[in-house]
Amino acid sequence: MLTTKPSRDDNLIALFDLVDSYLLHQKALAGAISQGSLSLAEAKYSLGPTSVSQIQYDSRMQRTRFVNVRDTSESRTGESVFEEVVEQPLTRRAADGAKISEGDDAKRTGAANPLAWFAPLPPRSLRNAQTSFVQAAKLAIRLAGVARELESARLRCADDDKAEAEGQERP
Amino acid sequence: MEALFFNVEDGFLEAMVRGYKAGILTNSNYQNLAQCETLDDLKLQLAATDYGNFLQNEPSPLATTTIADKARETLVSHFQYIRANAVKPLSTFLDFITYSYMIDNTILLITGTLHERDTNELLERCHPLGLFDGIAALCIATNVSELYSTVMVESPLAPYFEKCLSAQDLDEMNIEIIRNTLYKAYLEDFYIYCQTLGGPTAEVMGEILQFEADRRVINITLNSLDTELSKDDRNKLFPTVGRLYPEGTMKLARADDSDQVRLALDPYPDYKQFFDEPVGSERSLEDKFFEYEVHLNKRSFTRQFQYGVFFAYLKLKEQEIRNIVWIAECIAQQQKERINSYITIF
Repeated sequence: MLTTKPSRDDNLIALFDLVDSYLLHQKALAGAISQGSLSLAEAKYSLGPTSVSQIQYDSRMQRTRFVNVRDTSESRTGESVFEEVVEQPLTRRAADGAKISEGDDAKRTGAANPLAWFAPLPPRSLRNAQTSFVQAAKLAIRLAGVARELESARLRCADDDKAEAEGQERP
Repeated sequence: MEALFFNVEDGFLEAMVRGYKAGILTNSNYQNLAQCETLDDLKLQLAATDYGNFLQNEPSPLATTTIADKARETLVSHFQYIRANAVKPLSTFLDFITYSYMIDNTILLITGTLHERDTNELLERCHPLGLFDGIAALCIATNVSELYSTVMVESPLAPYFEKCLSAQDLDEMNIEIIRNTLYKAYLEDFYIYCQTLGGPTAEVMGEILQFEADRRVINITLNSLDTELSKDDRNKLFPTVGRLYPEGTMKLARADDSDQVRLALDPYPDYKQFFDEPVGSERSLEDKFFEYEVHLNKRSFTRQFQYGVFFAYLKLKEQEIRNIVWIAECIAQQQKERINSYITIF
């Protein structure tokens, strides 16, 4: 089957679509962060400003989410290069392969739900804040993926412009 | 009879607290604050109130936590002046008020130690009204019985701590259970003390403390839904001095969702109205609780020769600080749509 190279117009349309997608994701991210910040302010209002502050952070805190960066040559068109992975305590294993118990591991390493640092019986506003910030983290990852695709599209368009300019120079 | 003898020892302090109450921000003050564009504007507006130049030595840019801390210092200085000039039984009454802050400080230090935070940092964040001798030693204890035997046994919270000695390891949930158990014991003890004082103090404080107990019952129920707290443990945390005890608390202890909570509160019209939310309302349940609390505290000033005014002033001032911090947060985040979601006091 013959594959046709996308035309210059196709590349330009793809570029503008990606710009639109980038702006939408950026707006959604800003919305999620501002909603989370407002929910946090509501939590401070009901629990007291000292109950929701940095003093409650667990100094043993460990990350529960990380980002897999896929090799760009393996990713298909439209598939994000960045993939968010939420670490599940039950699937973790020690170096010797023995299964680590969820409760003990979470307690020892401070990897439990961070909401418990502020209020083990959290009010609705604090839960909403966590939901908003988790959503913001996902949006930030998607935004990074779109930014990367946008850059690739921009380079393709630049190559098209260069090729067209060279074609015009040759008689 | 209290009208004959109250002013001999407590008249001056009641006059002081009524004077302090006159300085509480009014609706027009809040409207001026809500129109500020920056926190520096807010600082200028507050300088024209009873707060004066309480932020003048704070460097720009201001943080909302700084505003909260400095406003709290003003409140603490008022309370400490009144406490320093009080004699029994008012001094005992004022000491009871400080026990709730001691509970908060104790829990802050225990939790901070569990999280391996620096001791000095934790002590700096303690509420000034809740400090007691030996509080720093809380950072050394590793389990509940050691906590009690080394530190709490000589503190004012010792009688309340005896009921927590069955807890095992110190983790976040057990610490929260300890907090609520301590507060339950404190609230019941405070209520009994107010009833022994009798007269208008017993009536005014009785109503305020009953509402506080019922509020805690409802909040614990709603916040413990979908958590690991069992129904038996939940029931043990409910104070027994409120109007919901015993029928309401029995139903709430068994509730599995917010609809069952609503059904359990149906026989109590004062609390049922909190769940009747009009469409499009942005007021949360906590807002309605705070509003009702403000209403009870304001009402206590309509009666003379009773100690409820001291408690009410403290709570109204705390509400004022919450309002100021909320407005400051909305200004700092440039989210002016919800800036008017504060509770006007006067």
